[in-house]
Amino acid sequence: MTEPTQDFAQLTLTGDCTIYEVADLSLQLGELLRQAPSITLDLASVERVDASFLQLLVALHKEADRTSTQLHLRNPTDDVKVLIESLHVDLPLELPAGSADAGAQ
Amino acid sequence: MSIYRWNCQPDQQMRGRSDMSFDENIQIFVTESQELLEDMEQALLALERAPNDADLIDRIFRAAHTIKGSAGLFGFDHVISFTHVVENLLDDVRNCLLPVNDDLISLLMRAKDYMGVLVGALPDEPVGSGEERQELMGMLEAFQSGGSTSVSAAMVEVDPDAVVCGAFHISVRLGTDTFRQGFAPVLLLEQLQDLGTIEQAHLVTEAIAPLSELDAEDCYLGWEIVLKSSADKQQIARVFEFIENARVHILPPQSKLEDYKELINQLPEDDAVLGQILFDIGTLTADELQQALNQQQEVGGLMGDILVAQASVQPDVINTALQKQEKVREAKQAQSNFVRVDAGKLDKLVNLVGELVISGAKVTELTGAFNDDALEESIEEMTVALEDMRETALSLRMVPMGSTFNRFHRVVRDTAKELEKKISLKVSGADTELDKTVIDQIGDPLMHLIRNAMDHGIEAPAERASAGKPEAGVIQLDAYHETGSIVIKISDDGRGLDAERIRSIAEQRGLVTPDQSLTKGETLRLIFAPGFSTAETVSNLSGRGVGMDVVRRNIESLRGSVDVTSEAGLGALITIRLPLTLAIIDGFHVAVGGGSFIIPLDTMVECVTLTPAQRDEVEARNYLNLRDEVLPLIDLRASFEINSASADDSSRQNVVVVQFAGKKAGLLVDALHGDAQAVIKPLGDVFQGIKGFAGFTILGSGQVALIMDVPDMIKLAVKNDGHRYQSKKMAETAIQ
Repeated sequence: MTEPTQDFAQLTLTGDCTIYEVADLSLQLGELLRQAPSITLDLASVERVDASFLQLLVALHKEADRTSTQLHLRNPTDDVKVLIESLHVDLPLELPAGSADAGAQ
Repeated sequence: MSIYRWNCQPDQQMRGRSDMSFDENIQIFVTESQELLEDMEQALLALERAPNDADLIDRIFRAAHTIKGSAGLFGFDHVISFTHVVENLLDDVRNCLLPVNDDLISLLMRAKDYMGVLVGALPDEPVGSGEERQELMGMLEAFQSGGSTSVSAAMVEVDPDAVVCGAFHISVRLGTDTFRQGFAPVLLLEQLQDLGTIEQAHLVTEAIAPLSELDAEDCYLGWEIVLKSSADKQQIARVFEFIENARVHILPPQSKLEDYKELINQLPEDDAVLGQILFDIGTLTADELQQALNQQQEVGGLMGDILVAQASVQPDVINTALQKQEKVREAKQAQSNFVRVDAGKLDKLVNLVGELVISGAKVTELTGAFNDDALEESIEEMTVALEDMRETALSLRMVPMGSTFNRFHRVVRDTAKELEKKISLKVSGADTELDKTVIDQIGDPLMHLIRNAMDHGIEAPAERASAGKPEAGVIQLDAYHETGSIVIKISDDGRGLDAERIRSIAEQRGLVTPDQSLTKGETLRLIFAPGFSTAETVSNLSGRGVGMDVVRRNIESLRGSVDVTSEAGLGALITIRLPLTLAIIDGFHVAVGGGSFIIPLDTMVECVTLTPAQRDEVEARNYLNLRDEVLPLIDLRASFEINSASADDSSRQNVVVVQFAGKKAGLLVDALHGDAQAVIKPLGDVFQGIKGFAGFTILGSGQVALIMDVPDMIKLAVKNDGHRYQSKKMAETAIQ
C-alpha cells in the first residue's frame, strides 16, 4: 500500500519475501524510490525471508545512495534481523522505538 | 610388521558378525598413532628450517589432536592427559601466541618421543617413565604460560614478512547460479561456523546488480571473512566445493603480505575498496594495508585497466586456492588408495608366482614336442601374461628408499648436537625403489655409516674453519639404479681417511704383514676387516671395531658389496651395491660338461664363440684378448672340477663376458642355451659360505641348475689374475 506524498513514501511488505517474490518486489521498490526523496520500508509483517530478498535490500540500498534518497528499513522481524546478521550485511535497520541495540552490522 | 586392515573376514562373515576384537583395534590405533608421530617428527624437522610455515604447524597440531581424539575412544586417559598439554601448546603456536624457536622444537621433539613411548606400551602404561612425564608436562606448561604474555612480544620473533593475522582469511564470491543450484548462502556460512569461529565478516556488495537490472534468481553475493579455525584449508574449501563458478581464496593464518597483495589483485573489486574491507574486518593492520596498496599504485594505470577489463568481461574462474586444494586432495586420495597388506601374505604370493613361472617353463618345453601352432601360440600368450604377473608381483615388494632416508634426518640432527658439530644431511634418490626385505636390512648399516661419517669424518667447526671449509659439514646420501643393481652412496666432506694410519693400525692388529704391498684401495678397504678400529677413544657411537665389519657382512648377506674411496682432507665416499631383485631373475642358460648353470642376464655383456685360434690361446693362458682388451677368464669346468666323459673338440668353445662394478671377466663354457627365467631358490645351510653361487633353480626340463653369483666369480677371476701376475713377477725377478 503506497501513500505517495511529496516528502516521503512508505511501503509495508507482507507475506513471504523470498526468491519467488523478489522479481515483483524489485519492481515495486524501484517504483517506490522514484516517488519521494525519503522512503520507508516497513518489515513488521514479513514472513519467510531468504538471501535473494536480502540481495534485493542491498540493491535497494545502493540505488537509494545513488539517487540520494533516504532509505529507512523499519521494524524488521526477528527473522530479518537474523538473516542480516548471519550474512554479515551492512544495512542500517531501524528498530521499533525502545529497543536497545543499534541493529546495523 | 604391518597389519592387515579389512572390514570383514570371510569366516567371520559366516559367523554373522564382523567386528574385530578389542586387541586388534588397539593394534590399529597404535600403528596409526606411530605413523602420525613419524609425520609429526618430519614436520618438526622441516619447521626448524621454515619456522613460519603455517601448514607445518597445522600438521603437527593435527597429529597430536588426532591421537588425542582416538585415545579418547579407548579411554586411554594417560595418553589423553599428556597429549592434551601438547595440543594446548601447539594451539598457542598456531594462533601466533608463541614463537617457533629451537627450544620449542626440541621440547616438542621430546614430547613426541614420549608420546611414542606411551603409544608403544599400550594397552598398558609404560613402566618407570613417571619422572620423565612429570618433567615434560612441567616444561610444556611452563613454555606455554611463559610465551602467552603478550602477542606483540611473540610477534617480534615471527617472520617480518608475515601478516599479524592469526586466523584464516577467506574471500568468497558465489557464482551467479548459486540460488538456482539450490544453495542457501546462510547454510554455507553456518558450515564455516561449524569449522571454527567467524570473527569478522563483510558482505561484498560491489557485484550486486543495480535495482532495475536485478535478476531475482542470480546470486551476486560474496564475503571477506576472518575465520579462526583448527581445520585445514581443504576442509574450509570443501564448504564451497559444489557451487559452480564460486571463486574462493583461502589464506591461512600468518600468510605473507605478498599473498594479500596477490589476493587484492585477483579479486574483482577495486583495490582501495578491498583494502578498506580487509582493514575493517581486522585482516590487515593499517600499515599492512598501506604497504599492500602502495605497491598496486606503483603499477598504476595499467593495473587499473586490467582490473576494469576483468570486471566488465566475465572473468576466468581464478580458483587458485581451490585448484590447489583439488591437487592436494587428489594427492591425499591417491595416498588413501594404498592398502595395508601383511608382509607374509605378500611373500606367499611372490612364491606362488615363482612356482607358476617354473611350471610355465615346463609347459613351454613340453609343448615343443607337439608341433602344434595353436598350442604354441596359446602358451606364448600365457607366458607373456605370466611375465607381466611376475613383474607386478615383484613390484609389490618394492618400496621407495625415502622412508628409510627420512629416519636419518632426525639422527643427524640429534647426533650433530651431541657432537657439537654442524652437519647437514642431503638426500637424493629417495624414490629409488628397493625390495622390502633389502630395505628392512639396509637401514642399520646405513645408519652406522652415517654416524661414522659424523663421528670420524666431519671435523669440528673450528677445525673446518681453519681448513678453509664451510663450518657446516655435508653428508650426502644418494640412491639410484644401475644395470640391475641399486647403488647407494654415502659421502662426506670431512677429513677423509688416512691411508697410512690405517695401514699402520692394520699391521699392529696383525691384519697385514709389513712387507705386503697393497694398493690405496686395498688399504682403505681394511677398515672393513674384523677387529679394526682407528678411533683413539671408543665413543658411544662407533669405534668399537665391530661396526664396519658388521656393516660389510650385513651388506654381503644381501648379496651386495661395499667399497670406500677417499681423499685426505677432502672427504670419503662409501659405495654400496645391492641386487635389484631377490626372487626371480632373468638368466642365461649355459652348459658346462653335463651340468647346467644360469648366469644373471643383467650381468652379461656379450657371448663370444671362440675361433680355433682363440681356443688354442685360451688353452695356454687364462685370459682372452678381446678386441685388444685383456679379459681374465674362468674355466668353469676346471674351477668346478666337472668331469665329463666327452672332453671333445666341441667343449670349451664359448665365452660369456660378464661385468660387475666396472670389472669384466669371461666365463668359459661349453654350450649356450639361451634365455631362461629362473626362480632363485636358496641353497641349503649345507652350502652356506660357498662362493660363486647365488642359489639354484629348476629348469623346464626338471634339471637343477646353479645360479651364478657374478660378483663372486669376477672377484675370483681378478684375484687369480693378480696372483698369477704376482707369481710371474716373482718368477721373473728370481730368474734375474
